[in-house]
Amino acid sequence: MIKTRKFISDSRIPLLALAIFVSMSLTNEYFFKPVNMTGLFESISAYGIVAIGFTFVLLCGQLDISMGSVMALTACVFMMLLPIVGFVPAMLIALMLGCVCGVITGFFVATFRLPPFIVSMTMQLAYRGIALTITSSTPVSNMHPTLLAISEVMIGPVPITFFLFIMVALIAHYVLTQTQYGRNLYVIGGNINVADNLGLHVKGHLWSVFVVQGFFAALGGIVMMTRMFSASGNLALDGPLNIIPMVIVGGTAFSGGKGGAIKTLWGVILMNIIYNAMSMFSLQANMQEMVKGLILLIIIVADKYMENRFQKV
Amino acid sequence: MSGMFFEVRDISKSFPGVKALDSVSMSINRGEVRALVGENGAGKSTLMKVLNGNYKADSGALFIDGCEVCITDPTVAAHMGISIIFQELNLVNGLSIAENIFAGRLSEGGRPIRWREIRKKAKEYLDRIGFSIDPKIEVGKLSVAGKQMVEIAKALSYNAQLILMDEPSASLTQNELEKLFAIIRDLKQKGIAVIYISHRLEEIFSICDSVTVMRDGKIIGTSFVQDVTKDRLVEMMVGREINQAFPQREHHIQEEVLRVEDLMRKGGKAKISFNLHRGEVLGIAGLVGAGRTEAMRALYGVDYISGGTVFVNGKKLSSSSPHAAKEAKIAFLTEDRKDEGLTIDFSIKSNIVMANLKKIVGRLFLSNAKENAIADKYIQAIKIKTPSRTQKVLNLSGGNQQKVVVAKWFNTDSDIIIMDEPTRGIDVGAKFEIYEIINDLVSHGKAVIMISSELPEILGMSDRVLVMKSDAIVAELTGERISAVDIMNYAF
Amino acid sequence: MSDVNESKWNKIGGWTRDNTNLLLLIALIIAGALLSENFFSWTNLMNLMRRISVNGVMAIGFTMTLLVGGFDLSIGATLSMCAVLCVGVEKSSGSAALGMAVALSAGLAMGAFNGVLMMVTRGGSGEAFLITLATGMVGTAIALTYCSGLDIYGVNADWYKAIGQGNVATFPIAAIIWIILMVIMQVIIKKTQFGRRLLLSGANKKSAFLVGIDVNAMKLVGFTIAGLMAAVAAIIMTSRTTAASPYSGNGADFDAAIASIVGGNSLVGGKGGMVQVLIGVMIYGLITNILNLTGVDSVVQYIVKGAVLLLAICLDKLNRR
Repeated sequence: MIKTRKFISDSRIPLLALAIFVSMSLTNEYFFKPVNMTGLFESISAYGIVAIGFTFVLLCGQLDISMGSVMALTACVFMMLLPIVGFVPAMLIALMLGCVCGVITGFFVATFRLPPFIVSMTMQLAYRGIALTITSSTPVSNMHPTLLAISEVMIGPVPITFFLFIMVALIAHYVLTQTQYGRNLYVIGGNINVADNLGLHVKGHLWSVFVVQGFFAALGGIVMMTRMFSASGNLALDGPLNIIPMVIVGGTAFSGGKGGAIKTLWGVILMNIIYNAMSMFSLQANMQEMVKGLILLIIIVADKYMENRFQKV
Repeated sequence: MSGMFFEVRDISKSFPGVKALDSVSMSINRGEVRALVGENGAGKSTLMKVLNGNYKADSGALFIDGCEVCITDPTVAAHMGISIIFQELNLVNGLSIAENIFAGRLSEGGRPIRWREIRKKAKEYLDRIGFSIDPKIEVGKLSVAGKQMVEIAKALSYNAQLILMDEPSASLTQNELEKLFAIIRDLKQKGIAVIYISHRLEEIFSICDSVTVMRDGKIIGTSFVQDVTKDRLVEMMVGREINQAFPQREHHIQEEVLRVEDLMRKGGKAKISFNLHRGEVLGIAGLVGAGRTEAMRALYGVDYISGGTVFVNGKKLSSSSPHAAKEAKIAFLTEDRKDEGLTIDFSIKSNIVMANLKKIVGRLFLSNAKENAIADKYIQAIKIKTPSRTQKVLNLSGGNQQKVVVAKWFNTDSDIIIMDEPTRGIDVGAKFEIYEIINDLVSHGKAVIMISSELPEILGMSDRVLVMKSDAIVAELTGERISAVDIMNYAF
Repeated sequence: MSDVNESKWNKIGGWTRDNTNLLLLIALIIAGALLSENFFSWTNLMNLMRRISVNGVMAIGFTMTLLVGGFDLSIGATLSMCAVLCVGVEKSSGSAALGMAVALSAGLAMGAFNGVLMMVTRGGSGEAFLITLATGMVGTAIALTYCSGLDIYGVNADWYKAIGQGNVATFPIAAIIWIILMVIMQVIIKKTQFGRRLLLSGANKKSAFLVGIDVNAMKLVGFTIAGLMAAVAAIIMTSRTTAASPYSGNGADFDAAIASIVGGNSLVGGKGGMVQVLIGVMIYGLITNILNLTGVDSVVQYIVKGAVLLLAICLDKLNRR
């Protein structure tokens, strides 16, 4: 009996996702149609991959809101290089660029110990600025054959990129639970003094998670290109707005030391189902953004309130 | 096993403004349980941190089995067989027991972690100390005693030969303490040396072989436990006959000024009730973790309370908040003067006036002249050593910082002054000045509540003593019957 | 002998560190003068003053949130929201005064909302960042919904246009409003009991609370003022451009933040004031001016300004301990 209750409590996010999915399928005729399903899976993939990267950052007790801008910058570079050097080289360069962005952001946070929120806020404007400059503020479109080919590979209504997301989540899960590096992140996020006393090279670890996020942001940006075929400096302007709730709802907290890749996986799925359901109710686009903003707000306030509720001040 | 196993020679360590360790030399044998005693600020924790690699000594050397060693950081210390169990336990609450024990050592190279093996090994170490518990359990769910067990298991897993314990018994029940002692005796048998820091002199006589006394950063002496008495130890710790350390005063206790009824902080384990009179110094004794600071914070309205009332001069406080308490003329000098008692980046004068801004109001606005006048008045009166009143408080010594806190509250003309560890980390000269200030206050009809972990201080200054344990007041002692032994007995 | 010289250098080094903002301002003035002939002409200076007023008022609000130990990323969205409300209401009701009243109320409400959330979460700058990030997104959404994403044109009253475009004895009214607000704020925070309590609550919430200061109320005040200032800035801006766009606030929070921090207001709370705002806004205005004169692309400008902000935070950290 207790075991069942614990199971339900631990798996409440997947169960909730399932519940909403099933009820939407039964009550709304457009929800379960292949067109909508494909769109749902596609949206899960791109932001989902980035969310995995953000999970690493949060686990260490850090914060980096530049993921949307890095997606934009790397996607633009990718699309611009695509006709010149071909798919694979362009992809590799874009991924490396994502890492470089992470290195820069991480440098200011880990080495100079500047507050991560201000650094990432500044960097996100810089990265987006660079993206706009190199594209002269015009979108870069390209119906490249490889991109088209990828976008057509499907198993049923599920695009191949969804499986890429699952794979990324599983690899991340492995790193976080089965490697010394991954476990060190939990120690650093859980109690940084303990990490120092154990001689864990805290600075290096902190720096690395920004690089991880940069890499996955780039990967997510490329995945997005298999759906949109066009990149601009204004890509993923709502990146943080979408991704932060996915990770927090999944169960990784702002305070650090708690959470994981599989939790984020379910958080991504749940939030995307909710966003998809919202669009089914033909809410005006701006109203949807407002609801998303309110969801993010509630999540943040609830998390911080629970953390601090025994303090008077 | 015999022979000097571990030795330190002429270790010195200074921090800005204070010499924490002054040419300390000490040695310990394998299998020896050595107590390390001394007042607060005597240098015990600093010495432990040097041994553990948290601090680097300015001069001096460390020797293991006669060979000089260099301990640069805690990981080096751990590999040399030195483990420390801090008072603020060094564990990650969100992780399992097994993971805490092996944190940082979970796998070699990049190979995957073999959790089953880790858990098995953890269980072995836990069993070795008689702590049978599932290593998968989250450390956060354990009691303080349980967490200590995990720390000891962790030390064993590092093949510790010397274990340093900093106030291990502070939050333990009698039962848990017995268990701890059994483990220490077992460690002794295995040839592991233990350095045991504690305020509780009773314990030392039951578990330790020998005792080293420190005072003002120096080693005063070491002897076998059977060759000393408690009184002799206290004398060595304090450095003089107890009754000579404190200024004389007349005891003239008047009417009741404060009454607390059934006060319980949120999350507390017991209600407390007591009263306080004009002209009285009420000492509050107890071990660390007994709930003394928490009780005062509840009284002052800093933390949430789940019930109870505070009466000042017969009138109920308007609300449970620092504002109401201050209006009722209660002052609260907190334990942590840097983070809570002072606005560390601001000037001395800003800090002195901040609790009573009404006094510096000029015709329309705040008056710089008035602010300067008040600051100067107190700088002179309490002899705060500073080149100027605009000096940032950050740059002052501990004793002078405390004086600024005192000045701040003096400026509120309060009648009831609560002081939490008022002389912690302050040199002897400044301590005496603080005692004189307290005496001066009560002779003018004020009332003082003094929380202190230094027995001599409690004994030398208080008219009445409340002893607290586990959030409750377990004893009230007055007059001639106050003795160190009594207090310790109750505090246990 | 060498001791005397060393202490002299230490003192000079110390003064330089404390007054980098002033030095930077002087350097920029010199650069501006070198780059354009009529830099010191009255018209040019007055134009500069008029141009920086909107950011100036925003920076006042942002600084208030810094002083209470927080941070505000939502003031840009509040600016957009108040701008479209002001012009929209004026257009549909015919009364500019009503439009202004609605805008001011909206700004007040948004600021108070932020303040309440800060109180509930007992937040510091980290929480403030996240919370105002979210409320900013909600505010932008409200602005977009209200005007369906389109610019609004209105603003007919002459007296209304005078706010943003008019002069009093050749001194721009917009700048006068800004300066008056700064003076009021400065007097309050430096010269009143209330202001002193506000600064103390931002510098160290624990010690402030212990002396009976209502730290939570101070947070509410700081953020509410920020919202109000955003509304005032919106009024000045719409009266100048006679139109309102739901995107008008984009990046305005960033501009205000740079101006405030570069001017010398500290991220830790309780340290700073309106003098720093004045210097910082002027620095920011001059940087923009010089970058424009040298033909730098607007997007690159952002990168430059971002670099300046990072530098300013580094300096702030160094100055702290």
